[in-house]
Amino acid sequence: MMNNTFMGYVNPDGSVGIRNLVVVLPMVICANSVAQQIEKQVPEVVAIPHTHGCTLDPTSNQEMTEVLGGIGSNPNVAGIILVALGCESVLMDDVAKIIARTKKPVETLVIQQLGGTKKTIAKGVKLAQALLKEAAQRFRQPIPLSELIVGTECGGSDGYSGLSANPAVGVASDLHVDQGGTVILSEITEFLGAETILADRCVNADVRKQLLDLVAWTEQSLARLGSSNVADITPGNMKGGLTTIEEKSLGCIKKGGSRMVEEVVGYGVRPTKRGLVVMDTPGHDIESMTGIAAGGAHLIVFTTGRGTPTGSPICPVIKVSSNTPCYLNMQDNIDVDAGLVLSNKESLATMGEIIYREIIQVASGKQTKAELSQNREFALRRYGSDCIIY
Amino acid sequence: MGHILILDHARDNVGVVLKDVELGERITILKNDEELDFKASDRIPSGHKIALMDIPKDKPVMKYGYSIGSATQDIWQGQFVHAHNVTSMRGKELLKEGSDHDE
Repeated sequence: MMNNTFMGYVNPDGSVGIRNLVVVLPMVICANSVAQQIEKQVPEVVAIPHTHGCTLDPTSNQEMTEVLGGIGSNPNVAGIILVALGCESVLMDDVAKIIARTKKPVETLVIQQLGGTKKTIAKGVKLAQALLKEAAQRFRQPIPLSELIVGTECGGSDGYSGLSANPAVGVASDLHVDQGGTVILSEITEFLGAETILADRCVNADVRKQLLDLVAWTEQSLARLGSSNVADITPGNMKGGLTTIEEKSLGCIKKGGSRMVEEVVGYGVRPTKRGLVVMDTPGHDIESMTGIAAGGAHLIVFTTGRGTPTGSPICPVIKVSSNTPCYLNMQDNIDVDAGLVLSNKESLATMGEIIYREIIQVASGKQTKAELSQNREFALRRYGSDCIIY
Repeated sequence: MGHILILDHARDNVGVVLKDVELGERITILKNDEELDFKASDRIPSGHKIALMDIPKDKPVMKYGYSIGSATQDIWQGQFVHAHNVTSMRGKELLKEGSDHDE
């Protein structure tokens, strides 16, 4: 049916990437402007501003260090410049050490040591140009599809999501798993009410226990905060026909297809198994996609019923609409219309194949709508009681 | 009559309407080899749910073959099914020690 390779880049550590990015990553919010101004002067680089990096409790600090390290280690990143202020609690050396394991070039800037923003930007611009020159030497070559890690996400879901877009993505997930590839199913809040289905598909009792414990922990955290029926799902979800978290979840997990759950990994942690893997991420789309990207995903398939423009700074994001009016309304943002399933113009099986072909094309370099519109949203999960409710 | 309703699973007691359904609009659908023929007793927006049969208060509302919550009042065949007559059963109170995960 389809060629079982895509065209990707081979990285120095043997991993493969589908993009050839030079990234400027601030360690802390205080370094955002420097990173953004380097990008302004060298628009080919990708700056990833964020609001965190300091005054975190030790657990959060450790998680954030590892997640920023995971972002830099993502195989789509060819080279990276880390920008520290110099006094933040997330230590740049720790982040740099994680990324250096991938043998890719890692440059570091410390604003306090370099004498302020102007001097840091000037040095950053030079480093950026050098890294871009180095990245430009790389070329695409055929890579087995089994190397590809595909993340799945849904946002702005509606009553159709679980009937069209999500099961169609599920067909594509099964096709990819059957190729020997990896698919990440995320958003643990959106397992509530559907976890028994996934638990029954866990490869062994340990994985099953990890999955059920994670869902129970999430539910207890929600309950402790006095979540109401309305807070479980967004106003847009409800306007689109979703009534409860159970309904949303039963639709959400269809993105994972029907294969066995091989592993449960933490937020931003790279899967060690191939096949279908569950990652602990929040229902907040952007925080969830950051975790998926830090876990090494090459691209993300993102379903929506209401329509959303969001992308990622380092992973191409393929948007799949659950209904045709959504696709027609936001053509700048949606790549594939799974609403064709509802009007019986396509079967779910065919739509799944269409989505999988799109995945392969995007892996080989085709730009997604989110890339073309430069949607590069980025947010980090804060591991604490103020942020476990979404 | 055109294709206006999706019934996802044989166990479901609600269906999803594919267009805005008007009050009094006739709905027919084959469910478990039985022809259901009734009228919508509410206006129902596209993508939302309609009761395919009567659902007594406190009984599960079924979609995708599973419970999506509990009826907070008696729901009659043909009525609009949404947050005004269904509540989630999840995340509401601390799970009791040893409570099982199975429905």
